[in-house]
Order: sequence, then structure tokens, then C-alpha cells
Amino acid sequence: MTRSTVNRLLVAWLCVIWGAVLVRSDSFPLTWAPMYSAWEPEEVASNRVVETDVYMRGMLVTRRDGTTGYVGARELNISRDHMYRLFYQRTFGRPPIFYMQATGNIGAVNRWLRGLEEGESHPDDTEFRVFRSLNKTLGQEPDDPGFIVRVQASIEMMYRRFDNLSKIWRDTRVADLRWDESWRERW
Amino acid sequence: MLRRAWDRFWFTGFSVESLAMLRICFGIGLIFFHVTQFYSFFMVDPGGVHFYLMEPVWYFELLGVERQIPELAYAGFALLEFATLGMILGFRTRLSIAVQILLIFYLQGVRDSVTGDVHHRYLVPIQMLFFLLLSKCGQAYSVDARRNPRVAAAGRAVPEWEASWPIKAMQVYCASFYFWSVLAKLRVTGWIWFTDPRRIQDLLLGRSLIWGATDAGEPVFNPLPYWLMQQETLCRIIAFSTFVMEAGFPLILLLPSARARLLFLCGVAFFHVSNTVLAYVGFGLFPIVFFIFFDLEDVRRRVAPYFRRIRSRSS
Repeated sequence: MTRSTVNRLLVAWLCVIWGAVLVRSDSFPLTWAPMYSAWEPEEVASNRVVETDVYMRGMLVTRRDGTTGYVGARELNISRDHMYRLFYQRTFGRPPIFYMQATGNIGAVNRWLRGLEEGESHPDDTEFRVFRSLNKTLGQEPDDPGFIVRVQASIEMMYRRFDNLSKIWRDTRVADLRWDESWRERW
Repeated sequence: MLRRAWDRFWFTGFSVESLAMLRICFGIGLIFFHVTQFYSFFMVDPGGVHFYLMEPVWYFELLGVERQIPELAYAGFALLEFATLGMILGFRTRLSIAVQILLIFYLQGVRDSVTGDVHHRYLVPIQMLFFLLLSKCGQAYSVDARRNPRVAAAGRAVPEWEASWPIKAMQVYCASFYFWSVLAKLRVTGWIWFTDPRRIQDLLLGRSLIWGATDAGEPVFNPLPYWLMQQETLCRIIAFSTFVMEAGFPLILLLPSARARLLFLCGVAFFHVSNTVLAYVGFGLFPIVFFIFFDLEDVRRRVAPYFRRIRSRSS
């Protein structure tokens, strides 16, 4: 490469990497480095009580033929980290953090680029994705008797105020996802 | 004047040997780094079902990659380590680097697509590999140069400007990466991220409990983050020093003293290792990229006589 080619390459490269930052693109290998940026101040800290055996065993599922069972890390053949996210986050309707990072405090230009209205965030289709991944992994189609139509899980939550960290209270949070027949179109 | 400053910044400071030493040192770091990033593949059954990816990354959507195939991940990881070794040795250097880049795209894509995780640990390394690919790093201290005198001769003829710009580009990217992360925190959350100790407390508390909690709400493993979370002043200091470190990182590009750079980068490395211990943030081995801020050929020249003396003493 000649020196002038290198100059042109460097200018183009700088435009691309800084352009990604401006438009909040977090598509590897471009980034705007938003890790750990999203946070909302709250008076009360809420944490799930993690139980390894429980989340590795997985979610209670009901199939179209009425049978029930657990689907977990072994059945889905995924690692512990992935099962943790599937159980504690996706099953409880929490989409991947990058959606929140991409649209948190978003400016007008970036909102326009994403086709979002004022106050609107990324469309949440986490429930559909949970059903699609579980069923497709297990080789089930919507008309099959073994097709999963309901996913349930429950976790214990632990709360404490930041100004009094020693006082703790708990409750139980339940996830109960049901297959929506209108999703067949997207299957 | 601007032109002169541009040229002085991008096109001075390094030799082809510096590039080659960077290739070797960074490659050695990568061998271990890959393990820390992809160990989760070894927790799945190679003969088991192929998980249907929940949130495929953009290039998997484009290519129609829909499933995690454990056999392919195992083979890909083994090949990645071999390609890294190839890069270290300078054996078919460009090919080794290109194979590494492709495999990182694949393996990271699979890992991040399963449930939609997002990790940023390969961003700087992948840019470094990209610039090593474009550079002539394989023309010195390499099997390629030893086997082919023409390659060795071409390596000796590489001018300073040609050896310098890839390393400078890596430096700029790395410094920008830290600076962007401070911008992102300000854009998404605002100053409160740095001024409110609850941000750090929240992070430490959440991470301290990921292995489970006792009836009293204390972690069952590693009490250190839980203890630290209760020290409000320390949490304030941590938040503020995160701001200083990330916002001030680009200044390293202007530091002429290698010792000052080393001191600053030791501080940043301490930050990453602490994050790994306290909050299980997987950036513990990320400091392998900091080799770019030093002329490693200069280091080699200084260290070589010391080893020669030891060798002559032992023989």
C-alpha cells in the first residue's frame, strides 16, 4: 500500500468507527461500547435468589397433548451461562440488554433511524423467541402433539433498601408464558 | 502544520521488528484469552441437540445460521488455537490471522446468539488482528522469513512509516474504546452513573449473589463484593475513578514516557482484574492488548543481553 492509500484508509476507518458511535451501532465488529451503561436509580435493590439446581433443571413446560415436564440445560444442550439467562431473564420477559442500551435516552436522529416514535422502545418479542427456540431445538412443529404451548417458572426475589441494606424482604415472581396461535405466521 | 502533525503521529515510532514482536506477544496472550472467552462451549454435549439460536447476531441472520452446532464449535476452537500458534510463529502469517478473524466471528457469533448475550471483549483484539493482517508483521521473527530469503529481505526494507501506522491505529482504537464507554454511560444514564454510589452498589450486590444467597441475604461465595457494596464512600471513589480512567485514557496517546504509560496501564489492568474478581466481568485478560502501547523490539533489545548472560553462565 502506498502512503496516500494508507491515509485514505485511515480516514475511512475513523469515519466508520466514529459513525458507529454516533448511530449507537453495537453490531460486531462495530461498537459504541455501551457495556454497563444502562442503569435506572432506584431506592430498593431487587435481586433474584439464584438456585443452580433449579435453573439448570429449567422451566416447567406443557405440551399440546397436555403432558408436562421440565426443559433445562441438559435437554437444550446449552451451557450454564446461557441457561441462567434463558431461565432468569428471557422466561421472565426480559430481552437482551442491548435493546435497552440502544434506545435508552435516545436522540431524535437515532429514533428516526430505528423507525421509533417518541417514547417508543424496541418491539419486544421475547416470549415468541422463547417458544421458537425451545420447540425448534426439540424438533417440534406447531401442529405436533409434543409442541410446547406453555412455559412456567417461578423465582424468589430478595429486596433491600439502599439506605438500610441489612433489612431484607422476599417475594415470589412467577412467569407463565402461553403460545399465541397468531405467532404461526412468523414461525 | 496539521499535515505534519498527522504524519508524525501515524507514521513514526516503530519498526517491522516492533510489529513482529507485537504479533508474538499479543498472540501468546490470545492463546489464553480465547480459552477464557469460549470455555462455555466445552460445557455442551458434542453429540447433543443443536440449540435453535434465540437472538442471532446480524451476520448469522444474513447468512442464515440458525443453530449452535457443538461439534463445529469444538473444531472451530481447536483450529482457532492452531491459527493463533501459526501467527505467533509467523507461519503463513497472513493466512493464520485471517483464519483467526473468521473463527472469532463464528465462535463469538454462536456464543452471543444463544440467548442474546452481548460481550465486548473481542472488539479491540479483532481490530488488532485486522491491522496485523494488513501489516508486514510476518516479515520478521517468523518461520516465513526464515524459510524464504525474499520475505526476510522485504522485511528488512520495510520503512518506518509502513511499520508504524498499523500499531498507531490499534492504539487509537483502544483509547477510543475506553473513551466511548464513558460517552455511552453519559448518553444512556447521565452523570448520575458516576455521582450516585448506588450504581456501583447495585452492580456489586447483583454480581455477589449470582451463585446464590443465604437466608440472611448474603452471598454463598466470595463475600468481598458484598462487603465492598456496603462501603458507600468506596463505591463513590470507584465510580469516580472509573470516569477518570475512561475519560482520560486517550491521553496515553500523548504520553512520551514509557514508564508513565506502564504505570497508567498497570492501573487499568488492576481495574480489569478487580472487576473480574468482584463482579465476574470477563475482561480479566483484556490487558493483553496493552502491548500496543510499547515498542516491544526496544524491550527485546534491553532484555536480550540479560538472558544471554544467564545462558552463558549456565553453560
